Amino acid sequence: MEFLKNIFSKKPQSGSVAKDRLKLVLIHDRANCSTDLLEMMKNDIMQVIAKYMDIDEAIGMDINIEQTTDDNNKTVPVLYANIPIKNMRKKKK
Amino acid sequence: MGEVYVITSGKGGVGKTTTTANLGAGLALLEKKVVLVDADIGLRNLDVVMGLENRIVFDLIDVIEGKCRLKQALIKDKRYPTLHLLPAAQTKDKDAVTPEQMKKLCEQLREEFDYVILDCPAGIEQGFRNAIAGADKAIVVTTPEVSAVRDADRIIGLLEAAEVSSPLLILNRIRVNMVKRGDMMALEDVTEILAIDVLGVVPDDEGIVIATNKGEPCVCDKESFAGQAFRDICRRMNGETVPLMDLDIPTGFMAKLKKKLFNK
Amino acid sequence: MATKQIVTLKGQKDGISIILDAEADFEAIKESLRKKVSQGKQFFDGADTKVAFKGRELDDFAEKTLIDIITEETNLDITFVQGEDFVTPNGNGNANGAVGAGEVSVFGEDSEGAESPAHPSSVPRNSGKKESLTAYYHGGLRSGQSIKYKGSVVIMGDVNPGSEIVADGNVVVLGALKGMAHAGASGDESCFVSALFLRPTQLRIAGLISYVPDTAKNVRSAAAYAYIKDGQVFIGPL
Repeated sequence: MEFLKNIFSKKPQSGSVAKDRLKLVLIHDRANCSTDLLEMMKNDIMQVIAKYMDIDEAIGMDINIEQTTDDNNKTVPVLYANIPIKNMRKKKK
Repeated sequence: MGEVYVITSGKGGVGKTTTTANLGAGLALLEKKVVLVDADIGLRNLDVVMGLENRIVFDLIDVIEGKCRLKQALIKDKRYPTLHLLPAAQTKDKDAVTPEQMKKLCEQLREEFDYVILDCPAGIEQGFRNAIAGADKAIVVTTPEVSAVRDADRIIGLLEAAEVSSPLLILNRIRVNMVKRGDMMALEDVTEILAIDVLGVVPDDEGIVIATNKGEPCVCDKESFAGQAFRDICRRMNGETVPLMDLDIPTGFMAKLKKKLFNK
Repeated sequence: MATKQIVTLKGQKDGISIILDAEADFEAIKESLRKKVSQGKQFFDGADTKVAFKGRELDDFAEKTLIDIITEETNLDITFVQGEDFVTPNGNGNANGAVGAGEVSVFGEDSEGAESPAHPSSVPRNSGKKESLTAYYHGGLRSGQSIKYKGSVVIMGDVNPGSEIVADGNVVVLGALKGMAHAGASGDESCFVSALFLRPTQLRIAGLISYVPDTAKNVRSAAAYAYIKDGQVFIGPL
């Protein structure tokens, strides 16, 4: 019976739902746990991008972990960054 | 020199105290000298789970404040002569202890005993910090529920930050039939998330409730499923290699029949 | 007048504390207290309350004199008197004190049977502290709460497991005693513990500690009292 149910049911099982939800929650928790880590990452990304283009440092860069849905309609975490650009081409000094 | 373990979980009610009592009794069965320390100041429970509540004269705070000698506060278990309990104070507050004092206490205890096992309070505040201060190894207890696993993850992070070396996992209260039909996270799911080594898996067992009612650990019950799991864990702590037990033991008549038919 | 106040009244959330000057003459304190309370009559009106004396060591007699003054001058119904060393039930204070722990003994299963017929005449002569101050506590004690008092303690309510009463005098529980009770905590072996339902986790009288053995099935749990005789704790029916 169980096994027939498993074949015909389209609903995801609650165990795997739990696991997916947990993964997402923990990505947040772990990121919140270490705002330092996020800050370090931000600085590194800034440095790399600054090699190729001019960043408006007055506005600053916004970096966060958020959720989005993928092609299969599953929620997945994304690293979201908002980087204000002054000039696409790096000025030669 | 003995080893100092802390049993912790973050979330309350996942079985820290039951685990502590059973590991203590299980290690005593292996003829080790064990002392269990109830670090939950103000909410002591380990004494009542072990059935020793009426023998308490002095407690951990009395020892720390120098009101009695350490030996006077240790209560000998009534079943296992090598098992001892250092009870928590019930009428005091957890601020009555500092991490340094706990560290000193653990150092004293490890001189005498093979294993010092601390039962940590739930939460991540002062009580937790006190309990982990003197520990060199940590055991994280969790159940296969989102809330418990989330808190376990937080605790693991804090343990790593406090440099308590690589914590071990006990997955408690697992229900095999629920895992099989996909309605409960399996051990693999939990370890995938927490990414720490597994010390043992303990099945959900009515025997635990019955044993706790009576004030005796279920580890000595040869019939108990959970008791077997705890005995295995103790042997692993003692350095033996014991495979994780096969939890898939058919219980009901239908289950037995199904097993025969499908020959699983 | 530039003289300093020798009696100060302070309202607290659960009662009044009366701060007394440590040096002043006791007669002067009595006079000053009488004046203070009669002035603030309506402030004290009728409510039952706890009173705490602070700032000065008082013997039982002095404490009683001061309480008499308050009750004479006001309609105040004093339910509880608190000394400096007193720990209120919610406190996390030094409730344990120094317990003179002797060896741990176990109640005899039918200890009163071994005795001569247990009735009041078998109570040790001079039973209990008679002249000591008594504290009355209204309501039960829950796990983690403790009462410590230098006289006798009467609890009107249940004493749950995990709570404790430590008294230099007797302990009387008008309810079920399931926690820990220590009578004669300063060493007086004539003190007793009594309760309407006696099933304590542990019982201490003076330096003796006893508990109900695990094997005991029918330990008397009706109204009973515990006392010391011949260096042992006995339990007798009330």
